[in-house]
Amino acid sequence: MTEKLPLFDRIPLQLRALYERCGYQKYRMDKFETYDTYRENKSFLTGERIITFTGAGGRLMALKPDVTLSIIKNVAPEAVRVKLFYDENVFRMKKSDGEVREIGQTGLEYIGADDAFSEAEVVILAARSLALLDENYLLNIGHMGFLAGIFGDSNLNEELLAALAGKNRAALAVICGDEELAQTLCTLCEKPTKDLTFLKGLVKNERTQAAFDELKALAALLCAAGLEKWIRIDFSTVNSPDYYNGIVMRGYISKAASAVLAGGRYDGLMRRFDKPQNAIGFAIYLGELERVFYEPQEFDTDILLVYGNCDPCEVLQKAEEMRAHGFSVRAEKDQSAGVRAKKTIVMGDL
Amino acid sequence: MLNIALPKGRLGDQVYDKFQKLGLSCPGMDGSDRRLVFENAGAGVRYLLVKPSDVAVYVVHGAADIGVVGKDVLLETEPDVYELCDLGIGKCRIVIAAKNGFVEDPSVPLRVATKYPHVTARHYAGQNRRIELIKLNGSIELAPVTGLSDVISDIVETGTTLKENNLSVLETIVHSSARLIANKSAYQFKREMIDGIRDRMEKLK
Repeated sequence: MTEKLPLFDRIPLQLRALYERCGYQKYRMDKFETYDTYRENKSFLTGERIITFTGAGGRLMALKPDVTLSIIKNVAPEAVRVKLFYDENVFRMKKSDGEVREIGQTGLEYIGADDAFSEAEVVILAARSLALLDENYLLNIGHMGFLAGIFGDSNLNEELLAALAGKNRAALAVICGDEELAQTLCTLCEKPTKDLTFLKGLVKNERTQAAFDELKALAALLCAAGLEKWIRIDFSTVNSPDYYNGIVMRGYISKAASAVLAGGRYDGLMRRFDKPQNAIGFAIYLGELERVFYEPQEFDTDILLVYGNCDPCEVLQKAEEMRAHGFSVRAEKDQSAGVRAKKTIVMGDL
Repeated sequence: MLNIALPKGRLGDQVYDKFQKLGLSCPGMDGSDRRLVFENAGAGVRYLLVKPSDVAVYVVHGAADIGVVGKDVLLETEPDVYELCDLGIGKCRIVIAAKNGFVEDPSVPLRVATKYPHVTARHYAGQNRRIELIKLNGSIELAPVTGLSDVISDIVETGTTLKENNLSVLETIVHSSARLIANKSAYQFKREMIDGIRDRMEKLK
């Protein structure tokens, strides 16, 4: 039955099947939450405003703008390992024009992920998710810990990250005072290999060494999964260092003009909610892809059954009979509704 | 096929000249042809001629893979694109200017007329100076002359227009020049071609 669904309706089901095959459980959340959940971590939702309203007793409520924050808030600090996925609509207001938007967001979170295998599992699932959307995809991987090791935590400010994210070599060179380093970081974009030799020149201290070792272990597993062709180590992939401290991901498909997948290791965000676990996850913004995957349908139904003044019992019987043969049947008294059918059957007299 | 958004006008002509030197010319582009789309299938490029302030819009939405746009526009609109290189042409600066002999009264909000509300607001916020912004779309120089505003924040190349309107520069906010930008998704899938253009453009300088 699912093959008959339009591509855009099929994708969430296929993603769900993919995650369930790996033992992830579906997480379902409420549409509303108290605003407090989001207040202290508003910057996690870059560039977007939260839609708020006053609930009973004067509590300020929010239409959920994001799922990750709510999952983290609700996870028990004692929980050892939690593997979840979700398929929800979130609500955001664009800062630029104040327009309210409902965005479909599908994502996956692995709370308690702190070994090489679990990290690779999530990255592989991110890649496989993209493959379901478009066979021509690329998953970029960066590492916030690597960057913190290169520049130092306090120097990893908004200005520097913006220059990196924009691959703006000239601006980055001015900020860090090292033209060669700026050139390397802005142009680096390599397929993962077993030994990651292209990153060795950037290893300068304990922190960069640790990040390098982590990336090497990940790269080896990605190669073993046969995914190297679709993955790039690219240090212009960045995210807020307040939340993300390890690998960060950004996924692109050739059909869409902006990134459709974003995620990474967010141990920092977990600490802000006083949770001891480490965690990694990603989200796919499906809502914005509706237009990309739109396939015009030629017909509304297989068969249009026009019954006119026929006996209703006969109409019912006839329609059910054809449906039992696998056709979709739309019964109408006359043809005035303008239904586009592959075949029109007129019963009795009109 | 690589879609390239170029700004219509003088800067666009200079930029096209550079693309031509890379062997990416298109018949009709340099003549009096009024079309807005030019294609050279052999070289694999298609040029879109758009309003300078719209170049980044075309690139962000993927209607163009790469484009050339002034840094002033990038600072004003902050589009999510890669800024691959400075082409070193179209040099100008955004300045604050006022009527000759203007004396600022710091006890009242400053009225500023501009085409760059975002850049201007950020500049004065950095100085903790209270201002009233007046957004204009052209002939900015007229604002202080007619008393619409105290000062203007505008783009200046040679300063001739300012002089002719009896205005003078009070301070420079930022320097600008033409930048090669790329759509982030298109860059992933057409990286070799885009990097090739960037590298050869840099050697032209």
